[in-house]
Amino acid sequence: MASVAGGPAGGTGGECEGEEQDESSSSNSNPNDSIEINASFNNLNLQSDDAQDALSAFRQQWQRELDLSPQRQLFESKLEQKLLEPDNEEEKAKQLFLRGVELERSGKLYEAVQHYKRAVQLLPDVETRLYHSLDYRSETPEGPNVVVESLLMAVSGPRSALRRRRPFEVLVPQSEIKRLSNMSEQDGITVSEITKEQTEVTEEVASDEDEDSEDMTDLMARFQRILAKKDRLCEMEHLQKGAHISWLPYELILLILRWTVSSELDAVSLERVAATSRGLYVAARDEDLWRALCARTWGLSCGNPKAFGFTTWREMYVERPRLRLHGCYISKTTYLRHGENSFQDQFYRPWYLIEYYRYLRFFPEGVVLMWTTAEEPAACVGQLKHRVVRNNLGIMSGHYRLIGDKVVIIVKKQVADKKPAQTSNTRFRARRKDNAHDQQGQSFHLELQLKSVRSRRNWQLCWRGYAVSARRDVWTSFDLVPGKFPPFAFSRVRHYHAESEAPLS
Amino acid sequence: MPNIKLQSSDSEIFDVDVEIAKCSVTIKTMLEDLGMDEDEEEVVPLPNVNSAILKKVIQWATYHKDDPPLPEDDENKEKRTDDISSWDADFLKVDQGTLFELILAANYLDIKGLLDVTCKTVANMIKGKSPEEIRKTFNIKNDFTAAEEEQVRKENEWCEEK
Repeated sequence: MASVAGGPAGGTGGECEGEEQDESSSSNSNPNDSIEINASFNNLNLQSDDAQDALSAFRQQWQRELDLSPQRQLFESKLEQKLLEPDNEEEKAKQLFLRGVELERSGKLYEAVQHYKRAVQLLPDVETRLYHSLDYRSETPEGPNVVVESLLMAVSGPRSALRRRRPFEVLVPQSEIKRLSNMSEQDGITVSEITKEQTEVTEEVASDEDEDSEDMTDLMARFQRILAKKDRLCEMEHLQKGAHISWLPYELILLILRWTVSSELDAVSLERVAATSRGLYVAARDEDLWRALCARTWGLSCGNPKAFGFTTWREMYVERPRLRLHGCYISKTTYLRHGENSFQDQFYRPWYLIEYYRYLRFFPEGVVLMWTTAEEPAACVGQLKHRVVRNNLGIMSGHYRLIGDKVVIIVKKQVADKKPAQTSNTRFRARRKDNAHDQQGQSFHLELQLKSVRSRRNWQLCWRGYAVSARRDVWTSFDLVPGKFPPFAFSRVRHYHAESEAPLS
Repeated sequence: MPNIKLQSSDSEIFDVDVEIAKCSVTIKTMLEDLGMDEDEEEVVPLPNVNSAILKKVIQWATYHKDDPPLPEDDENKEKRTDDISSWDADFLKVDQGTLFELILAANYLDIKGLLDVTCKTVANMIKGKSPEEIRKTFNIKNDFTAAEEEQVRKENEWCEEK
């Protein structure tokens, strides 16, 4: 059994020699296939750094050739022949069965069934026997490796396709195998199930072994695999009495995360949750949450991430230009104004330094506040916390739309409060005049472009157009002199998102 | 007012006004579907809720029994969130274990108002904290390997820019 098992494993190892030569320790596991190339690779390895480049180039070429050449089919047919060679029928049946498992795992169900059928024809109870032989071997001292070898051989199809760089002889702790075989004894799991379990275990062990390998690119899959074997999402750091967050089922964790993100789209808190532990990472990376974030950022018709060249909703949220909601965009304008001469002293010519700020505060769903004031940011940002403005400071509210990286804003000067005048008649008249003027409505039309400043995404808003209309459909455009219209820079305001008011919907 | 008997997991029996008990959609549906009459001396078993938590839930439901149904339109939403009842805030000044058990009970009994306010409390405990602070707050073990943690940090780099 062991010798036959060694055949295919070594064979696949040989096939992948080009990719795994850097793990030269693995070469001793497949001595029968010690190809000359292997030796030459090892020589190359010993040489200097530029040899490394040549080596990697060669590797790639080798890889291409492997993919293109008919060797693979040749190899597979050879494997078939080898399988049929074994002297006694039992071995043959077992090999056929394991080959079937291998095919099943690589998705070739039809071929797999054929192999199973042939195996069962040769030996009706092949599955049980195979299971017993595995079980028996796990008890013997040299057991683990043999078992793992044969099991790995059984799954080498998908594995070789997925991660060829890994040597197949991954050491699985004996305890794991015992646990598995014990478990299978209790539950009567069939061999194919054992191999499935075993694959997971070996993959986990393997990925724990080489943590900085390609596995790190997909943490989600990795953590899901690890969590699948646990019954809770996260562990306690210290023992505690009473309920722990891990008592909550997954859907309640998601509900809490929806509240955390809140209707104000606090994605940052979500990312922080992801960085706490494996289980919460999986929850906080839930695509539903990120889809909702995208929908609230770009509208329900925001389109599928694939259409924009992103792989996930989260990637789209992070990468696609969007307005920052966690603070204000502030533009400070400074200019000098010529004052009037003093009538007493003709030589005294005052100049005034005028400083004022434009604030833009964006909310989800297209609501924006604009405020032009001489007040310093520290005194102002608090006024812009809520989208409904309750004061008469001159904060204008309006709507925005994001088209690509362009922001189009229309704000209207708010109509003054129509409080019944309780003062004298003259003042009442004056107020009414004001009202009449206001109600006519002054609208501002802004066009801005989102820009990133170094690593800070969407940090700046540059002027692209600015027009004002006092009457319907009569627009006056401003000349966007750079000095007078400096770009808006983003400034984070922590307390805007300190409290959740409504869940992400 | 007719009463109903609720039995907690530790076999304590609570005599509750039917209208208050109907805060829980689970109980409401049960009563309607099974046609339980008030004159029957039947006890509703709630095997997932212990007496301490059930007591809290009843206390909450009693206080909120006259609440108007939640307004649906956006205009009112803004108003509603401004006056988060200080009673609720006091009610939820409990240890974390009780808070999570209240969430579980509210979910099981299907009491939306209570589930909202408890989830929101937990969410506010999360917001604005660093991963380490969140772990500390909820006693969560950091089960990342160093390489994993580094990878997550890289993935999250976009939101940590200052």
